Amino acid sequence: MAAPRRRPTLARREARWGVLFLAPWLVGFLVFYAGPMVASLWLSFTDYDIVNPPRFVGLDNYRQMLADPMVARSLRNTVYYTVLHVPLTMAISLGLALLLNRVGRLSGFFRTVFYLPVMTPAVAVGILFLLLLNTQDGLVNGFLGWFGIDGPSWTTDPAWVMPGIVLMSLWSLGSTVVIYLAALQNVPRELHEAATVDGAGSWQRFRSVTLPMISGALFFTLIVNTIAALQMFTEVYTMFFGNQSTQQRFDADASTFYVIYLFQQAFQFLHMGFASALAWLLFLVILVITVVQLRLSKRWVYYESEES
Amino acid sequence: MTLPRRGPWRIVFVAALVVAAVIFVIPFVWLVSASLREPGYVFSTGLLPLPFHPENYREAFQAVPLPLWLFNSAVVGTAAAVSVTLSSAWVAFGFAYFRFPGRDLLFGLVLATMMLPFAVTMIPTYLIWSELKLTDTQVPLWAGNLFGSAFYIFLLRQFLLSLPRELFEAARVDGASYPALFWRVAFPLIRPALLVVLVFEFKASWTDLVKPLIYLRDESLFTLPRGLKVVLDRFGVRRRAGLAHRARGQRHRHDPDDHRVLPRPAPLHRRHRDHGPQGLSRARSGPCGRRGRWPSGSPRPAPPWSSGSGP
Repeated sequence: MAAPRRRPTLARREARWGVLFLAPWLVGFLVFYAGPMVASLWLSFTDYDIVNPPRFVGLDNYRQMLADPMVARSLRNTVYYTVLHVPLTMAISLGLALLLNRVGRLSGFFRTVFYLPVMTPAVAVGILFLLLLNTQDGLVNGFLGWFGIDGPSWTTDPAWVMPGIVLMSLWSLGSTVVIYLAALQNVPRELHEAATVDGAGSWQRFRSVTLPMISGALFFTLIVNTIAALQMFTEVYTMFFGNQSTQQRFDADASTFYVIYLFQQAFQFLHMGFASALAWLLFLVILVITVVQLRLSKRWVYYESEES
Repeated sequence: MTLPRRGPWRIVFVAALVVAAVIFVIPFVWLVSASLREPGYVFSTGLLPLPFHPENYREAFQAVPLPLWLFNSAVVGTAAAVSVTLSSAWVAFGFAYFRFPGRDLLFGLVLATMMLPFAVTMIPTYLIWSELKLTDTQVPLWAGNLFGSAFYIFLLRQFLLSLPRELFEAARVDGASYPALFWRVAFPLIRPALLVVLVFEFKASWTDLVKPLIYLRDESLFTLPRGLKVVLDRFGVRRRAGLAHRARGQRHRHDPDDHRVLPRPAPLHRRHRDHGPQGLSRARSGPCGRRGRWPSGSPRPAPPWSSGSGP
């Protein structure tokens, strides 16, 4: 008697329990993602300073965004940083990973060394490089001095602030190295052997075998590093922002990243509406860049499973 | 791919790696060494901690409540790591084991949340905690983790999917309930993955500056990164402090071009207002007029558009 009724009950019971298991995430999604997204979109059309209730101002915030020179400036700074940081990170990481891939068992030790900076808190990295990049006695300029180069004012000269920040960011490229190394170790040896038999030199093997085989990993790091670079905050905020004395000593505009400006607008000046509009522009920029990269990737990323 | 090379090339590769490794390690060595030097010699070239001055550490402990901040970081980090591990595993089990309509769509949604920049949800999330009167407590630093986190849900689901389904069915036949299935079968089997999540999240929480910057005002609640930022902002340059305080050397006190040379530390009551984003404390102390959108003493002059705005 129970047999015919049992099946649907079981399926329904399973579904009910399934929802119960997903419940925490569903609640979190509604409260911390869906709700805030709607709220932030609404806030971006209002004038809101926390103390007084939001006042609808239509497109004013977006108009202000176009008029405010700091928005363009911070966006330019951020893009400048991203354009330097991402390719350099990828190139140097690939170089290190290729070396690691050739030294056998020793690679474990070096990999740990390259990964150590990744484990260092961003605040500490910021403070450390504020000292290392010091114009007079910083280690970087000391090193350049050995070669007779009079190092630039990394932390005070607006033209050199960004290269200094990029230099700092390169110290923490360990995670990219680890990803590339894993990808390199997955390249089948037979492919290299076959290419060698066909008379390919080492450069040709690199160009035509290694690169296509790790293009998936290259693409992944391109996307992830770009998204992260566009949201750069902690290290730079630590170095150049915070209170008046950290800030006023030099032209802070040169180091104002987009998210830093957003943060200042939101929590320093309490322009919550304006900051929400800034956040949506950031979201849009990231979305567009990611979609473009995805599109372009079809031309150069090779997935083994798609062929044959 | 290729076999580890033998012979001269291998030596070249290893040498290149050694050079790279030295470059990566030197900042650490320099930091440790400078923290042990006499305050005036923080920048003296060379990597030896001379003149040796380990008292920097004692002085750092005296100058700021380091043990308290360490304790706070440990508490917040543990709460964040444990809550995200338990909740993410629970949710991941839901995605991995149960079959019901709409599941894959929801899982797509989980992955989609990973794409959303923190900045978009930052302000409304702050308003939620503020509404709950939980700003200025450590709760917002970890409580969001009770609802699982997309990346960890994804990771743990992959692990759970690799377990043979027969295992769970056998347990069901033996009369195990679904929670027992999760707690007594799945949970022990993915322990290595759970450990990874614990470590990742603890590290993320341990190093995070953004949330403490937004939510914490009271110094006794600070986590270490937040405290470190205050130390930099406040002592940045006190002459007596060594690198344990991250301070400057004495020699270049008069270089006007150098940011290390900061004004003398303000008296405490002024200084207190000085650190961190100041707007919120101001808002709390009383309504700030809409007209005064750009607080006086703000680092930037009001942009052209602000003059005409307002009702």
